Amino acid sequence: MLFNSFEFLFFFPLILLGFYLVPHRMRWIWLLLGSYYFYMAAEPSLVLLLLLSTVVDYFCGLGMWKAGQQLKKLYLATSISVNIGILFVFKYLGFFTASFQGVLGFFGLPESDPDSAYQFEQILLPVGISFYTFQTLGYSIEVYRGNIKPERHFGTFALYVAFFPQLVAGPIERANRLLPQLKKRIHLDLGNIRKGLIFMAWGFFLKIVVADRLGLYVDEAYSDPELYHGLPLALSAIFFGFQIYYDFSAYTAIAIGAAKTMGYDLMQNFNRPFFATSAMQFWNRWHISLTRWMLDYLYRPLKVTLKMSRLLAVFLVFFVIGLWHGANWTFVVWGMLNGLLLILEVATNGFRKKIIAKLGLSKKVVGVLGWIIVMGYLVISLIFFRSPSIEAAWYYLEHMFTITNLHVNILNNYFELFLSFLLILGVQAVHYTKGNHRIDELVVHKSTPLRWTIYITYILIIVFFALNRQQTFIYFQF
Amino acid sequence: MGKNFYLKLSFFILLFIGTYFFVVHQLSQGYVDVYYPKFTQRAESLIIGLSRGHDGISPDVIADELDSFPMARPLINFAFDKYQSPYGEIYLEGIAKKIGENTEDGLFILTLSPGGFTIPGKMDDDAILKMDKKMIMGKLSDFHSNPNYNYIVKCYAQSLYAVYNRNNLFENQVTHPNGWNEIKVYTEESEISEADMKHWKSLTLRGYEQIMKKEKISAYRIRHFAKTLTFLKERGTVLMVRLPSDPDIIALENAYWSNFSEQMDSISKAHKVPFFDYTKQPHAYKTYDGSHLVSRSAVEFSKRLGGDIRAYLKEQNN
Repeated sequence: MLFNSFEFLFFFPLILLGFYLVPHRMRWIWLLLGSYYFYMAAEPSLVLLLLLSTVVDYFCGLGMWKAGQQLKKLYLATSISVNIGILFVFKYLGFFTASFQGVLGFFGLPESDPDSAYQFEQILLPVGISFYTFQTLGYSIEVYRGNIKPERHFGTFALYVAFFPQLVAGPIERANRLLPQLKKRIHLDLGNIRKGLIFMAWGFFLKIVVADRLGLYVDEAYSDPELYHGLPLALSAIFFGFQIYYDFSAYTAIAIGAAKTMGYDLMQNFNRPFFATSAMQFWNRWHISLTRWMLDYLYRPLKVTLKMSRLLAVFLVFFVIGLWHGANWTFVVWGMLNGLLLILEVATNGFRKKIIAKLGLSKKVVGVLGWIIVMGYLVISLIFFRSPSIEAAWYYLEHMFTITNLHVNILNNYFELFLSFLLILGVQAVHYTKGNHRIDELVVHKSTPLRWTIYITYILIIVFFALNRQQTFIYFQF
Repeated sequence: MGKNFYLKLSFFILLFIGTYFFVVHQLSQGYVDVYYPKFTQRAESLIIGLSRGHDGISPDVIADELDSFPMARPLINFAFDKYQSPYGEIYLEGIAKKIGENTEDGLFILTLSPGGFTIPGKMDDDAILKMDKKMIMGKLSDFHSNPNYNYIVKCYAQSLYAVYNRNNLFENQVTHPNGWNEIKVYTEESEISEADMKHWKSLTLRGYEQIMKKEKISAYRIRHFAKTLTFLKERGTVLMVRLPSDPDIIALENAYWSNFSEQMDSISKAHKVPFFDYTKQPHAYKTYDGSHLVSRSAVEFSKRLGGDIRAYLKEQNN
């Protein structure tokens, strides 16, 4: 089910109402049923995978707790194999088969079955598979490391895996944060409901007014880059940077808000990433739940256990981050490009400091220069993220810098173009002043007339400027 | 505090719903979009197919030509475009919902272009169906009401501020209540120049070349076209029509699908349905973009088609 669908407008109030009416000991049942219904609304049969991942990790967790070191490893290996196996079969099998066949073809070797890649690509990609498998994997690793006790209540554990607000696009929650919350007794708190609703309202605004609007321009330019040399392509590349940020942070805001109305606190996934002045800063602020997951469960083991060099470990992590996003080389290239920038930044740190000191540049100037480099690089790397193939991305890149005319109004609607800029400015101003996690301050502690004006203005903006595209969130595909 | 909170929340929810439906209603009172009129009345007879049918056949002209024949009316232009109405299960269901349940003497003109029978790349039947469900007809439940709020809520893709800002409408376009989309070369406000038309034709040719690189002829679509013929034959007279277009466009289509007309002809024979192919005629009709007829040509063509249908019906009655 999409957050921005009519079904959700009925589903969510019903779940919320039921949540506070049902006695505490029965709430997990209500939420679990709701979460499974939410997931099954898209493709009912794929819920079996969610269930498989849940059952395996539940029993592996319990097994690990009692077992000796050798058996513990076996349980962890089982958990990793099953989750990565699900991911591999349902997300990557077609991609790897096609890539393998491409390699065979390149060397003039016969392909075993040319249709097999196509057959595998037809396997339906379960929504949110990368999110929930990583979440349960994180649980297993934490139990293995002895950092948390396994959850004994199967229902609570199943709810931890399937909790509907963050099930399909995160944040990838940690067991030590979410599991205790799911067990605690929660009383009706209107402050929570108000705060949650404000976050949700902000998320809906970001999605259906801003991100989907930017998507119109981006879709047009990417649909036929040959038609739009130069400026429109450059503008569309910039718009896509904002579109993906607003789209994903919209989902996160709605998820955080929906959970908050029920008294649960989900982690923040963004912290003003577009104000980052270095690649390191950017990755500490962007999709935080994934980068922290990678840091804890991939980067550290690579560096500490396998004694890999820091830079190689970073590069590998970004290779995996790219692949995590999708079964296409475009995502891998995007990941590696970002890894490369981070490596360059780390490797040239001392050298850059010397140059800056020599030139006598102020902190502010360095910050601005850093911001331009990071944002420019991000926008360019995202061309690979958005393009259907590496060739298409190259084509786009080549023609983006060929300015043949100044016609940027490719939707033939100057008002929409103006509105897009205005909205970007507005949202960035809000994020600059309030960050991603203090959105509620736009409303609370304000005088009653001002609050009412804000509410009414919000209603009017949604009614008049929302786009009724019911577009899925970009991160749903991952 | 609690009671106050719920009261305020209810007030704002009601205010939102009220404002939304007020604006939706306002929108429904004027121009909505080019496909909206196709969903605001019951139909007994239909023009079916893609954008060439949408622009190229005027239901009123056909109805006038067939004045003396007992054809169930109204005749509505229910043709859309490649992304909204390729032949398939969803379009067939839409047609079934659009016409009256008891229609027996309807007239059904099925226009044919290769685009109505192709899919973007290799896809199995389930994937095609899933894709088609995202079309207007896959989303809609109400095909007849006026105003059709169901259409605006589910399918209107613009922002509602358009109610008060209609300056982006294409001045040369007239959207008729019978579903016909008329493109006039001259209006009081603007004129489509020859240079514009030449440029648009080059874009169409380019666009078609791009599409043809990716598109594959689909057995699913051909199968459902045949099902559509079978279904409509029980509801009245069915005709298959390939509309005229610019010779360069037709040449491109024929290069992509060399025996398209022959294949359609064999389907028509198998289903005992007449097939009128106007692509082999001299260049009597003018298009504005190489593919779609301009207003005057659409009227002339509709007259000619009406005359041909009349002759066919006469022959059948004798």
